Amino acid sequence: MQVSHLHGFLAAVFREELSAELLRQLRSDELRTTLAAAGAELADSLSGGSEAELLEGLAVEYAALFLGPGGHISPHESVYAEGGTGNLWGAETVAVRRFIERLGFQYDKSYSGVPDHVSVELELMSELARRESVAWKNGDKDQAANCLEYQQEFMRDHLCTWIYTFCDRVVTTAQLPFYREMARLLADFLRGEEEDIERRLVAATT
Amino acid sequence: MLNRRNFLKLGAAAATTTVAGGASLNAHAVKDLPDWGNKGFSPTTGKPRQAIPSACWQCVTRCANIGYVEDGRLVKIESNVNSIRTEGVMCAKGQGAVNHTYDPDRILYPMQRVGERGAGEWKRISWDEALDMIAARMKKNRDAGTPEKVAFHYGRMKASHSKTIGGFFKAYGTGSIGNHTALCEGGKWTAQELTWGGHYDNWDFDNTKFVLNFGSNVLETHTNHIPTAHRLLWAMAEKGVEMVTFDVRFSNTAAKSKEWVPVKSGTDGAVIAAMINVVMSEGLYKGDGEEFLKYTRVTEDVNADVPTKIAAIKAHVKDYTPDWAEKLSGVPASKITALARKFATTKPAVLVSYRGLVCHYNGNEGERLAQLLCAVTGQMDKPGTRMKAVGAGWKFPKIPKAKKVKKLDIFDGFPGQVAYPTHHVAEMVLPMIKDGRNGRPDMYVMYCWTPTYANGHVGEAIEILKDEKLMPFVVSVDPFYGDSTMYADLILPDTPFTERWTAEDMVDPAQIGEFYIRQPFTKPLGEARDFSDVVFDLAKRLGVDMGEAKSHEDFVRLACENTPGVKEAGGFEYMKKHGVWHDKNAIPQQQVYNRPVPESVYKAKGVALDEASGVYWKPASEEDTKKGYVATKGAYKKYVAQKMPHGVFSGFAPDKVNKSGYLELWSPLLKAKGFNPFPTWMPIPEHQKMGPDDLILTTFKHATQTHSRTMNCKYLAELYHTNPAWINPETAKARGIYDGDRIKVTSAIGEMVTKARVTEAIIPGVVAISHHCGHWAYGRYASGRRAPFTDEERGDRDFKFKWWTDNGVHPNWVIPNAPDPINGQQRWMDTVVKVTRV
Repeated sequence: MQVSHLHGFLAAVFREELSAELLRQLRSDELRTTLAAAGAELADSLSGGSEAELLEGLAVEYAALFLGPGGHISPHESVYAEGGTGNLWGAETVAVRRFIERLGFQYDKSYSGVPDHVSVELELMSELARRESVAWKNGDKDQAANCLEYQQEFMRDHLCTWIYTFCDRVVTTAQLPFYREMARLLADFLRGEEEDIERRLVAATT
Repeated sequence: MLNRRNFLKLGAAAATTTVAGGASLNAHAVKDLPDWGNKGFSPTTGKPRQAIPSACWQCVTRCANIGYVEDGRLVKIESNVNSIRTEGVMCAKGQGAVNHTYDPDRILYPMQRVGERGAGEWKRISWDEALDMIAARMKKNRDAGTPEKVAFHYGRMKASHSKTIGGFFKAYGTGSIGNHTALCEGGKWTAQELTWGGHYDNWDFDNTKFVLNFGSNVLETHTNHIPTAHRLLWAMAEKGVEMVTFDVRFSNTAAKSKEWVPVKSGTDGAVIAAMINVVMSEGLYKGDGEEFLKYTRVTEDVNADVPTKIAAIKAHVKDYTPDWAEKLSGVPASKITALARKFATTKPAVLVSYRGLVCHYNGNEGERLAQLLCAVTGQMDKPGTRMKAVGAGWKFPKIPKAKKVKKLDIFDGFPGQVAYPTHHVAEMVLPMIKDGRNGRPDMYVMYCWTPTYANGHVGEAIEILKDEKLMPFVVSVDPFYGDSTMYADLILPDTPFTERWTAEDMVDPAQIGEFYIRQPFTKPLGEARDFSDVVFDLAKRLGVDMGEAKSHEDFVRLACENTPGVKEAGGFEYMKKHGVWHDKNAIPQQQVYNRPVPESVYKAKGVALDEASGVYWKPASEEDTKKGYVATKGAYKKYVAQKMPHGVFSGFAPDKVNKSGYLELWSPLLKAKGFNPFPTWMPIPEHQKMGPDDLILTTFKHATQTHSRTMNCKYLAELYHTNPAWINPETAKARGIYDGDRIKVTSAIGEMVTKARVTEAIIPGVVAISHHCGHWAYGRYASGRRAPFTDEERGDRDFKFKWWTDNGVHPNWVIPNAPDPINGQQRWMDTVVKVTRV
């Protein structure tokens, strides 16, 4: 279930500006320790200053990095696609939506973003990993393999075609440690997952 | 031998047999065939794409179009084949609009500035927070009795958008509403209002036999571009109609003409004046011209007969000889004479004019001279000539104005600067705010308006907009981070036009009037909202009455349900399905001016004759009667008819100014302001004082771009993204300049560095730089601003799509804001510069 949780956590981090609730959790001893252990060098960047000031600073950083206005790092797959249009809502966006709907999932009615936003793609990965985890727990190797096939396909055809470029940009552009470290964490985690999924798939099919 | 008749006989006989009709197709079961035309199919599935009839908004022409949507994604835009305006033709700009919707730099959320103004630090806020902020300022000003300090300045706002958004601000109580028309062709409109009343001339290429063009790049760009240009091309290609184009530049329009006549910048008016001289001295006015002069005023005496009028014109133009014009314009006298004869004797012929004629100090007079040439040859307001334009007359729901509407006097230029600013003086708004004598807005809302880019003197505009003492609170309503939006305090993410509703009404060259609507191709991206919906929310917060409609879509629905013709055709549902409607039984409109007015109308109760002007009108009071028609404010709204020596006629009804119902070419209004009442050649002061090294900077537009709003469309930026300065080999050689050299262009207000394009396609003594280029914001494709996309070594996958690195230079850095003294038109073509090799 940890894989699913980490996907979900990173989806929340990149979905929108940090909420007060998430900031509080990030400042808790448990999360600070585990983040540091995972290699996220946040040091004291989330500990000093008032909560309101921290949130404001991170919101401004989030806008500068992911929203604009003006030069920003688009968090959408189609903007990066090789041979694509370089614009929002490309053919890749449609393919992501089709992939999600093929699994029977639906976009929440309240979701106003573009269908191939990084947080959507991570949320999908989180859900697939959750189902995989339940399957392992139930000893259902077939179902686990099924979930892994989907994860592998989605990473190969979508998420990993662009996410590393995206993360590299964030790492080199971010002014505050938080998004820099989260991007580094995301890239490292997905690189690991690409290998580990292969391993888990072998385990599920033998 | 069998012929068609025999085939038909055979067909009739065959009907009685059992073999007629099909056995393999179940075709009879299909009741109605789908509508012909405008179909699109998915290349992957082969299934029909959803085809949504709507309307373009890339330029003011606003052609009816069709958007093809597949999987919720707008994939293609083409023209609506059922439109009588475009007849199924569309330009590159219209097709490139898919890039607006999916511009990767679109603003999708309300954003609030957090750092220094212009520094680019922002945070996302909710719509509620944004609207509360605006409403609080508006409330504060209303409570203080200063609603006029809420200033709304738009660049493009038309038809139902104009009614709802403009209606909201007037209902709130501010009349501080600015526009951009003086930057386009407002001067042409004023000149027309001073002569034939309501502005806009339609050039009837469908019926013409000869086209005489002064400074219009009609095949590349025009306020009614495609509806006009494709008709002209058909006239030229199918009927062999000849066009002669006067221009300083060998434009694509000049290239397609029978003849390009190079003319010195700002002297077209002298050529037209000389043509009038030829017409008058050779008696070419006889016949049609004489008939038309009955409806034309060329003397102070409104009761003058035609011989007196002819004598007056002859006296006025006697010195405007072709030899005189040749000295000024460089056009051979023999050419002027020959073309004057050709224009006067080819019936019908159309006189075309645009920014090459009107964006000068003498632009108002250039256009009035053009009207006079049309009048004396009778080439006016009848098929095949220059005609009064016709648009769709929607019946829009009413939005009641506030009891008192107040306004800041900052939209019409400095006191005494402009005689008749009937389309305002956009270029002077920021300088007037800086000056402060007429007050300053507490809140300045920019809607589709980029004052730092669209006006002259860019550097000054940026300084003013950045100065929080001059501009305490700036709101930008924009789908994109434009060259002015970057200096806002608050950004409301507007929808691009592909996500909007509008009831549209642009001029119809068929002279009938086409009703058409814009409807969204797709849902707004992110949290973008059409500002014409946002004003309904603001109205609720402020307790402002918006009338019957509850949203902009509702407003469009009501317009469709209430407008005669559209209503009977099926109203809103019909328009959503077809996009366009026109009255198929309508007769193209022409020659309204010579319709006799019955006595029952002009002798009705409340109607009085103003002897000085010959105008029958409805004075509101005894006092107005005493003041007379011309001196009474807004009297033109009370116009009924015009008394002429040969009867009472509907005439050329006035609009915006108190002119008579004649085609008024002797203008008491201009006389009152110290100008010659007759259309007159006026030298351009700056050009009189030019030194031997000086050149005239002239500007132009390219077919695939609008002035400022399309460079973010990647497809269009690929086609045109840089704008080297055109310079004649002779002029270049004298300065040691070779093709491709970097050159410095210096004017009285600044300098810019660009590249030289040495070409014979421009006359000597001029340097020509197009608009469109040199954005410093407006997204990656327009500006080339890569930050934070600086990762070149590892390859910018998204930026690879932008294969060009030269984004050109914007000429407005060196062009001062300089209004035409009569109408306020920004003088884009008058700037004197020095050009040197860098």
